[in-house]
Amino acid sequence: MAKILLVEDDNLVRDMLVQVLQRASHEVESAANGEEATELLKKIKPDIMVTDIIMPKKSGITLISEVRNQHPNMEIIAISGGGRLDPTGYLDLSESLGASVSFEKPVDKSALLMAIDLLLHGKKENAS
Amino acid sequence: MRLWPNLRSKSLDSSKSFLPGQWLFYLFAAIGVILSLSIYIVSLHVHIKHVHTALFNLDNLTTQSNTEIVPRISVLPVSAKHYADDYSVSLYDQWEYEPDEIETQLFYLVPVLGVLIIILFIMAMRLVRIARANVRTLDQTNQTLKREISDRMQAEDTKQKLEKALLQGQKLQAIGTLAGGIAHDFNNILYAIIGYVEMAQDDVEKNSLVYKNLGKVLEASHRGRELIARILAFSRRQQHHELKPLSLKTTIENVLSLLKPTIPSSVTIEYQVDTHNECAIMGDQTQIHQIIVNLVNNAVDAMDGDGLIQIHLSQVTASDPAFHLFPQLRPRNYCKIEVIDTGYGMEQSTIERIFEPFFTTKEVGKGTGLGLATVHGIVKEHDGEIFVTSQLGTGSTFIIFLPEYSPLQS
Repeated sequence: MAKILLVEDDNLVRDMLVQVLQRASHEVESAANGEEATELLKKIKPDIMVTDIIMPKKSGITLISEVRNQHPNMEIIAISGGGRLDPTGYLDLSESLGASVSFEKPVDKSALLMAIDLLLHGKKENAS
Repeated sequence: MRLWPNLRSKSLDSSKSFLPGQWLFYLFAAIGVILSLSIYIVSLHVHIKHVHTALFNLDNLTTQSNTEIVPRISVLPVSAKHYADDYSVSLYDQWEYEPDEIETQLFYLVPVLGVLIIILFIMAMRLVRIARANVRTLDQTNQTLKREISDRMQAEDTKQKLEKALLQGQKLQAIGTLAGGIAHDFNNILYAIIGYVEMAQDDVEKNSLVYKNLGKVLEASHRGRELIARILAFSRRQQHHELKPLSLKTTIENVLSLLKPTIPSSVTIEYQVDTHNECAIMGDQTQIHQIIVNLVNNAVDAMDGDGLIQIHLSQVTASDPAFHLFPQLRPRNYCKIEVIDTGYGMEQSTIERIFEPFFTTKEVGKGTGLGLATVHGIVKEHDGEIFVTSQLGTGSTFIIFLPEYSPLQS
């Protein structure tokens, strides 16, 4: 079980992902954009952050680079459906900025959950 | 219908000859001069006659005969008194000759007529000049118009050709913009659908109808996802690619080894290299992969999953006589890829539209109509040409020419 911060601007996708993650017995906090996420991160210390890339107010790219600096231990998973560029372009960028794993939307549920487990496992190993 | 424009152009051309020429006005002037001269001569003659008569009468009055009086030729009528002074004939005082009214009028008519004719002549000349100038202007306007019309027509023609070519490009660009614009939202929508359906499936029994129906929703969503991925791939193709020297021989080998497991076992693929060369071209590896993948998939679809696909790689040198079969090609060294299938083949009308984006003969959901459009685009990007020949019932052949790369050239 992990403490996860989910950042996603699309209500439908956010609610769905919250449910998916909760069903996999993770503890989930959610934010609708980068700004909200930064606010939330002042109060909570999640293990993993799952973030969309294209969002209003503060984009996932900015958020990732900020989080990478301020919370170096937090694992980041980037997801994107692409925009004017193809999703891989954004995902490559997010990975180079510090995201551990990235997925193209629509994300395969089991792949996402598996990635979360693996990252969590790796963290624990590092810690011990 | 054909007569009218001919007639029109002829009348416009010969419009100059319809106007009275300068000679007519010279004729008028000549007639005027002759007329006034004759009037002058006639009136002078009448005047002389009158003077003679008057002198004769005077002779009769006086006894003085044999007086030879030759009247002076005068341009104006003069009184007999004038003559009398001239000839110092005192008796001439009795001479009562005065030029009559008609005589005087005739004499005065001459210069008046002359002046009138000259004025007329000048006016006529002026008119001719104006008319001439008008004709010239008309002619020039006509010429300019004609030139303009032909220019316009040519421009229109070029425009149409360009439009046709642009249309293709615009279609592609529109798809690119559209795809980029909607892909993000569309993927989110699909993601929500897929995510919720998967969860709903987890909540029902696996054997239930609800589970199966939800499975159908998932299937449809996946199809949507594939479509977006393909459109994105297509629009991505328009971005600039870096071309590097690569060996067609090994590139095709590699892509075929990747492709073979994905095609039905009833379809055989033969790869034949008719050259000892590596067939080097300047190209983008991924794009060349795409060409082969799309063409092979297309062939598989055309054969309904049963048949033979032959892929031939060969070289065509600049001196090859086969070049006049393909007038679009500049004579130079090419690498030739042929993809031959034993499928249904195509009708001429299909061949003509086969590279158009969104043109497909496949069932709804099976093809996006972008596969061959993508191939066409890639080949063009590589400065190559693609041709297709087909016969209904026997199959189709796609022939791709890509310029051969030789390090010496660059």
